[in-house]
Amino acid sequence: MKSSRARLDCRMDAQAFKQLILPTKNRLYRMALSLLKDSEEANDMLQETMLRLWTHRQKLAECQSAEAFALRITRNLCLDRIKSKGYKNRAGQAEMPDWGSAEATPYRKLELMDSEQLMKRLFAVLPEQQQTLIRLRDVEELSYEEIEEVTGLSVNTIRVNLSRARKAVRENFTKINNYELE
Amino acid sequence: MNWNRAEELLERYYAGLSSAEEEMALKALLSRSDVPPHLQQEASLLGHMKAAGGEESSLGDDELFARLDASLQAQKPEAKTIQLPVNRLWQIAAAIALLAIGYWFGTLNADSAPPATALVEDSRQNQQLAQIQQEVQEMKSMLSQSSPSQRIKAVSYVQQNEVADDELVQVLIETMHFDENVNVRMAAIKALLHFRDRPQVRQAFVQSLQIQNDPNVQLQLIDGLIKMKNKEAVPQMQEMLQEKELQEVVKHRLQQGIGVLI
Repeated sequence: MKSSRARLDCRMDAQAFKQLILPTKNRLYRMALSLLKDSEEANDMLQETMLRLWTHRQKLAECQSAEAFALRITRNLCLDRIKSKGYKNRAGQAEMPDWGSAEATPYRKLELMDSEQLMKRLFAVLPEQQQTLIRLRDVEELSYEEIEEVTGLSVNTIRVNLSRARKAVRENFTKINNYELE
Repeated sequence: MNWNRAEELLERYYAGLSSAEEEMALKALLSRSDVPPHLQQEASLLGHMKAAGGEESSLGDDELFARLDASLQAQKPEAKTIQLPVNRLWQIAAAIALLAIGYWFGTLNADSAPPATALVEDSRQNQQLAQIQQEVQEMKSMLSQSSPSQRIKAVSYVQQNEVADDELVQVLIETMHFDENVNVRMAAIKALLHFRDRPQVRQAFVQSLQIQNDPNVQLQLIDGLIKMKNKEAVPQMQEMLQEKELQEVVKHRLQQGIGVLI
């Protein structure tokens, strides 16, 4: 299986590469967005990721999961971007969700709140690693093996940090709920 | 509805111990409409998490690869310059063709070469022949000289010449048979022993046995015959034993020789 894919890759042309990567587009986008907090930046990073993946297309085909490899590249590029001197941390600028119309009850507001916006808010307080882990596991529903491949962490580390992230998110969610309901 | 199972799964979920199947089961349980109040918040959170995965990139499929396509395009002119391998292929082909043509010319020459080399060979052989003939002439003239020492010198000179031809050997044989000086005849015998493999020499030794009267020469001849293991000489040697005038030493050597040769 692995070898046949590798063989396919030896002559992987741009077309085959695009077909392999295209299904992962939105998942990569969400990964980039969660880290960069800006859709324009995320899209830019996505295009950059395609270039990088093309250069590493040999490895891409040899991986167990092409998607996990693509996610790893995306994440690394985003982290590099965040660390780079020219990059202004836009986390502060990340638009806070519009809490909806005044007519709705606060609880209703929460219900109506865009899930993605809510998660952004909930995850924002977490360290980057925990953010990524809970996103990959609970939002993207990746397997532990895939998460290992993306993050390079061991399953045990993943489980421990996931547990912390989940508890922190629950705590946060309860706080928001109580605040909104007050 | 017993919600213990859901609570148990939640516990594992928050401990980071749940498997994919358990999480699926948990989400299925909490998405039911009859979730008890104490689990509603958990249900809401998990529901949001699941729903959060819907955000999509605003990039079109072509836009996504725009930068990649641009770089691939940019590499194309480079690909033109990388046509070197093709050029090199032609170069290799040309080199091979040249080699083949060269080889073909070589074989052409080789076809006509045998006459040429044969000519060279011929001329070399002619040269050798001329040389040998000259040697023979020289030797004849030397052997015709009156001084025996000169003649011995001439005879022993042949001996050094390993490629002596038939004519030269013939001259030696004649010397062995007929030279008036014993020492010259003996020197000739010695010289002829070098050509003992030639039939004419073996025959000449047998003949000479009949001719020679001097015991020294006879003894040397017998020794020579033994050396060359000339069995053809045995009848001649037996005949010789009958001669009354034969010296005892020679007789004795003859008997010895016959014993060895038979």
